[in-house]
Amino acid sequence: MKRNKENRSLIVKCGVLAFMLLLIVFSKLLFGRGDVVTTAIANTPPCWQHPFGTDNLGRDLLCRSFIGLRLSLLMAFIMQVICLALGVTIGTVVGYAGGILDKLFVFLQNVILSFPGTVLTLCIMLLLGNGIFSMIVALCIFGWLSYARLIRSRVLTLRQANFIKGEIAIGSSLFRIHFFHIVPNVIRTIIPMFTLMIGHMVLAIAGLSFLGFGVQPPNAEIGLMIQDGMTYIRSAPWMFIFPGLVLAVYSILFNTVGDALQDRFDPHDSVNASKM
Amino acid sequence: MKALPILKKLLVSVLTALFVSFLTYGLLYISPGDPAELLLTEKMGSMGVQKEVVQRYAEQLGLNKGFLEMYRDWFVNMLHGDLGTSYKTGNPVLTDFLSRLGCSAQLALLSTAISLVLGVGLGILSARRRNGIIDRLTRFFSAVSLSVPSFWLAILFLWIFAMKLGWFPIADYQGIRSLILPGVVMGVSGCAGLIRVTRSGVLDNLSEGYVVTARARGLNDRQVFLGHVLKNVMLPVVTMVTSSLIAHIGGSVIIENIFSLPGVGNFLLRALRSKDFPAILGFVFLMGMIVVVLTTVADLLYLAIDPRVREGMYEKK
Repeated sequence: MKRNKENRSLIVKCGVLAFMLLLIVFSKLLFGRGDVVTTAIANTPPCWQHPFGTDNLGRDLLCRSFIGLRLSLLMAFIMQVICLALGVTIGTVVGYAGGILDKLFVFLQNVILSFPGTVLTLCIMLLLGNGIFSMIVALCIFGWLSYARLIRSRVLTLRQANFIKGEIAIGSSLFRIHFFHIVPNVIRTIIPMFTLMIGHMVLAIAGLSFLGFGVQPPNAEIGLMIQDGMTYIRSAPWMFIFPGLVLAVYSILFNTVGDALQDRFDPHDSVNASKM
Repeated sequence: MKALPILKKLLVSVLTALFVSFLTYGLLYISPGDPAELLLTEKMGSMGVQKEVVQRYAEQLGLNKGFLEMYRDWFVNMLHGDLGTSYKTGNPVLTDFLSRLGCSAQLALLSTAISLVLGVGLGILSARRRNGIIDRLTRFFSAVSLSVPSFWLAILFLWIFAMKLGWFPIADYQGIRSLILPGVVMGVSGCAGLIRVTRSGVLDNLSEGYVVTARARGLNDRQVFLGHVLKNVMLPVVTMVTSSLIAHIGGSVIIENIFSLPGVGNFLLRALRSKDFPAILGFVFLMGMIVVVLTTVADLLYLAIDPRVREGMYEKK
């Protein structure tokens, strides 16, 4: 009975997320006409026509928030795919090989974790210049590590499991053991993590853009919009309030769905994975 | 014999520190843009700067040597406590760092303390009343605090409490009064992890055998909880607090910028924008060192409070 109830709430959560994602995907079609400079209606407070108000150039903030989030989500998705591929490959290799390779990985991990995250990202941004591409690279350099750590520890524990030992005993190939036994076991940990990490990445992108290192001005981006809003904080506070609110809502959605997936797939590990 | 694992840990820490410095140096060395030219342009205004002058200036700053040579020079000087001079302020980098460390350290400690109180308190409360109203509210709160962008929360608080209500100073730094708002923002957005760890730690431990034993010995709820369960829950909390301190050293870049605090993060941000190489290098290196030291201390602390970790270490050898 309890399982049923949990399943239903998970489906509802995923449904809401899917709907909100559709809004984002079709945001250019739905809201595209609001993203034009019309100085006549600059700094309009929230009203029926412009629920979030307009910015200092008369662009509708509701439209721009969604269009901006589309860019962030797309980037976050690309980054996570890269991080996932890198992390899974490195984590698996290191987990299997052990020995010096494993020691090297642990050392490298300690080195990377020794930098406060934002600082390392900013240094790499300095190296590559501002912009979307360098932001993707800079955030990936940090991002793959959480997957790799997870996979490595998974492989290490799974290798000791009896069913894997049994597979070795009956002479299964490494390939077979890996893709038929390790991977399915690891996937249930990865799916929730992927969802959670997208939420984190969107926040990181907004943060970098807010500081002026990420997405550059003509584009709509939440962090940039909040930065703009700070200039007009006294006269037009809606300029920073609403874009941040939209970002927060999406981030909460990703986190709750990620958590729910984790509880469903992997009840024992919900604490460990949420640390990163 | 017993000191060996600890020595090994320390050695790894030192190696990590060295590698951190090398990596930072390397990153800055290959980054584009000639600092000598940038500086001169800044000093002379937008008038064209001649190549010869730039070259002479670069020589003066010691920027025209090879990579390893420059790194060696920097490293030797670093061992003597000289991290170079900031292009921008003209002060020794170490002086600049130390004069801003106080503000950042206070902020990191304040926010970590707030996280700790909120996180452990709410975690214990929600575990003790599992699935009750407090538990639900707490879980919602932790989801929100994890998801709301901290820089947005910071601006919101700044707008409400400093601008609208006028309770706190806006731009001028007034010591601890200026640190309360940023401390609360960072504390709130950092407590989600602690809530989770505490909550699940309490729940896991309550079902352990030793709790049954303690109950059987006639201890009441309070004694079992304070004397036995809490001790075990504190272990992961120590790890979380260290990583939260680490996160706050870096996470404070944005927050310090918003509240215009005279902290390490804000200075580093300005240095990054103006390509003030010695300052960036020195600050990143020193921040890395603080992290390495904190992590090592946490590891040793862990050894001291958890006998299982201690024994596990010797068993492996």
